[in-house]
Amino acid sequence: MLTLPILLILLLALPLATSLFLLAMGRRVGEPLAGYVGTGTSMASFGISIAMLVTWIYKGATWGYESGPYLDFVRWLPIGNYAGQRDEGFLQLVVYLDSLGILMMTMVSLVSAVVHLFSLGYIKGDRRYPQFFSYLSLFSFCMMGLILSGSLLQMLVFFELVGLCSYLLIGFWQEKREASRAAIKAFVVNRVGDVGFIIGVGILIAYFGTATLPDLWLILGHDSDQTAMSTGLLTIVGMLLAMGAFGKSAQFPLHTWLPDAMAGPTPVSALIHAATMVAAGVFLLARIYPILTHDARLFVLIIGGVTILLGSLCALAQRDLKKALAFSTIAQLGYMVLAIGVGSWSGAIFHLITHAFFKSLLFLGAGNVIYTMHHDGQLAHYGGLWRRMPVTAVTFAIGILAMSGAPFLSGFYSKEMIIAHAASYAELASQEHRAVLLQLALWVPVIAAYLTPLYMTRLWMLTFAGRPRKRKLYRDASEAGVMSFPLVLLSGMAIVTGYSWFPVQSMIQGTIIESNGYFRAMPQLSSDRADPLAISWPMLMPSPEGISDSGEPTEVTVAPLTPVEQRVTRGYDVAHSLTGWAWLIGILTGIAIWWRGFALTDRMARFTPFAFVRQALAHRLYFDDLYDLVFVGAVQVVSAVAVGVDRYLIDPAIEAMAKLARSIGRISSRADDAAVDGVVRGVSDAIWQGGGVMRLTQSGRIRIYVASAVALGILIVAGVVVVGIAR
Amino acid sequence: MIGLTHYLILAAIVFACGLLTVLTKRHAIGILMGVELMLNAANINLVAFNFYTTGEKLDGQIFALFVIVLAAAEAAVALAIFFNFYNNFGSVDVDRASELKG
Amino acid sequence: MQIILFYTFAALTLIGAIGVVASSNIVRAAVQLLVALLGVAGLYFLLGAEFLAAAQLVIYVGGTLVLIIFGVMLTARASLKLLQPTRTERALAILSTAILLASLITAIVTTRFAQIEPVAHNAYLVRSIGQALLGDYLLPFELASVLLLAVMIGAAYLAKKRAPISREATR
Repeated sequence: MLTLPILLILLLALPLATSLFLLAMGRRVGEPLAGYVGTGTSMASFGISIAMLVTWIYKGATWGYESGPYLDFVRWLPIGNYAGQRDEGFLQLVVYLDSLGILMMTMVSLVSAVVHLFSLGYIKGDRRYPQFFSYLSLFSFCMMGLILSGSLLQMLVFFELVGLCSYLLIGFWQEKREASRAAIKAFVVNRVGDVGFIIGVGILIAYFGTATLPDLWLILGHDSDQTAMSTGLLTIVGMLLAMGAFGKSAQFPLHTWLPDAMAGPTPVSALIHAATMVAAGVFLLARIYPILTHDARLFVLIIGGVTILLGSLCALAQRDLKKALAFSTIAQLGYMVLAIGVGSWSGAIFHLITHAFFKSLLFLGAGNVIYTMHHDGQLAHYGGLWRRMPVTAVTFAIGILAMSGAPFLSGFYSKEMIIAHAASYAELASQEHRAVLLQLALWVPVIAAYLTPLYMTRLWMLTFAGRPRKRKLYRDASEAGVMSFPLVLLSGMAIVTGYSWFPVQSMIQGTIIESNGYFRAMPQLSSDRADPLAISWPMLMPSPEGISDSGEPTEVTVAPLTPVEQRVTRGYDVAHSLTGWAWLIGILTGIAIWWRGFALTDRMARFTPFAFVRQALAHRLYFDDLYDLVFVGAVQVVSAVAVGVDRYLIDPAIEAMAKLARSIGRISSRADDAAVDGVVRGVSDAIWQGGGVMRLTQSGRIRIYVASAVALGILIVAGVVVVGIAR
Repeated sequence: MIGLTHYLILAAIVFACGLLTVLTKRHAIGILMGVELMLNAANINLVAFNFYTTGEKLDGQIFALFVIVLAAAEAAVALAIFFNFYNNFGSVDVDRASELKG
Repeated sequence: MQIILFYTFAALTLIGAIGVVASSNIVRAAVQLLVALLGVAGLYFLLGAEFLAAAQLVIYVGGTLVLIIFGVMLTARASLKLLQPTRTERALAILSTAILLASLITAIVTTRFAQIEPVAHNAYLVRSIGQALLGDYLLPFELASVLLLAVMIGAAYLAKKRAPISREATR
């Protein structure tokens, strides 16, 4: 009998076993077979998750989720007793599966299966063919583990693991200097976010003795004044946890790794850096949503807004196909983060799912183009490809339409939901707090809604329309069947995921219903605290039955609308009037501007300010250079100071001694006396080192890094002690 | 009478020695020794707290046991890395490992 | 008696620890480390952790230290002398360590720990440890064994003889 636990174990064990098998036996299995094994198991995973989805939906007579999420605990580590711990004195390993988890699983396994299929063609003939599929399978395993995690600590573990897979796959072509650098950069930048995450989890464990998500929701609920933790500290914890999400989701201060990550193989970019791993950050935000205080959500909102603008603008000027797509991903992730910030929990998840499909479609399309163009990603070399690759051109266009929010495609519904919720948030905020600036929460996504079709159309026009700009690349350019089929499949998904009959919206709704049901069943709760997910408006979305396919609430709603629902409805009106035609305007403008390839923009670039802006955007607003300057520079300054002290204070003294020692050494040059020899050698080494210009360049010294870290730690310890004594 | 404070101060001094070793030695194995000293200092703390504050429960000792195991594992991996380093750079001086710089 | 033993072992530990810092010869430093580890094992005996003391002797002194000495021997082609840091570095290191030590000792002296009367001798020590390891700590225990396996494989892989990376290839 296939029960849920067995299915879950299968779902985790299959990819892991495949990965280990391919890693160990890959070379012996050989080229095509290793790929078939990987693809086969990924399809089996997809089958299992579909089976789970179906049982999940039809386990009752109706769309009932009242039986609640699936929970299971294992004792992990004794940490001592805290009040309100579920399992006295222990940290737990938790398996937590709800509708959101099932939805994510289905999405991840589908995209993974499609990407596997695509890779069969893309990675053909590579030297490390089996490893590639091994890493992909490992990634699937880690992603499944992440989705099933019911504890923040576990999420952290799987976060690191997906980070590792991302590192391995970005640097897959490790001979390319660019790729290995990008891999290291991705890893390091992600660590910055993870440090925040670890500290946040640590504070939570220190206060409550648990990192289990449902327990934390219960303890912290929506009114945090009943807990041991002050709201201020809770805000800080929320911000720290959000940092982990920002690192993974490439949000504003930590966004720089994603464009560089495009140095990896394109199927990897589609799977990891567009659909799944970068969305894991948003998934984390959704999981910790009940813990986030108002201020923490405001922080999330601001970061999301900044990221949307940054991503959209930079995407307009990128000269590399994949990098432009990377910036569009950053912008869309910004949408989701902003949605969490304005309280549109369901909007964020909805957009996550729809985005996963159309963005992986776009990336695979780009991969097809790049493969055909002999791994040249420069837009300046493309043009006129639609004759050679009609399927790719059409599916790419579908992806663009879906992303721009054209009606009847998935992006329309999800983006509209976010903008509508943002509109009602802005309305509420300006009423209650008289904070005019919060109106930006509406205007930023609206502006970006016009920019999105613009930069996407630019990509299509430069790639597929016009005439070939570098004919040399066009020799034997044609589509391969195994790589076109996934595109068709994904474009189908990009169309249907938005519809209300498709089980995406209802599963999102179900998550809220079932966690509410679960918490109502918990005995120690009073009924008014029982809605930890539906903490505050506008978490609710109009129920799926209440929305027609165009997204408008219909008149069938029987009960009179509550004020919250009224405001959401008004939000939809605002969204319609502001962005209803944004997709068309954007696309037409895009077609007009890039009708003749780069001709118009190049002419405009003769106008200096425009050229300046274009240059700045193409260089990603110089964030990478800034970070290089600040962080690498800081280490250089420290070492330069050390060298300076060495050279001007100490070296002259040593040098004098050295001269002395040298002359002695010269005199007794035959002497084999170890001591003298050692002194002479040591001293002359000192001179060589001190005197040479070489030393100035020694910025990568490990001990300087260690010493700076230690010094920082000591400062913190000393500070804590001083503060403690002062009290 | 010997109390908890004695042990803690002893551990603090041992820890400081370990830290100083890490900071001043340039020989990779020297750094490893410093780390071992720091781990031992932490272990003294764990066992001392266990003895003076928890009584029958043995959590402190068990943690110390895990630390010993992990220290052994760490030493093994560190030495393997160190041999690699020695093979590549022909030196035991960690300052030679400046390949990380841009 | 206990006081004498404590100060003996403490002195042993400190002599060893300071010796590790001060000695400029890597082999000598290893011997000093041995002294320090022995001292710590003695302290464990005093603290009623006989099993741990034995483990310290067997694993640390018998295993880890031998490993380290092997490391020294296998790289003996390089000079046995510890490479010396510059004086500035040493001064800064001593300064920061002194700050740390001062703040730690201040914290220790000023804190009032909730102490109980220590149980001098636990007759069922090994049994209790065994029960704890296979009871409350079962998962960490198993994970530790997985970790050791991973370390074994990893160390073997890392130490595998390979051609040195040429400078040109990395540029």
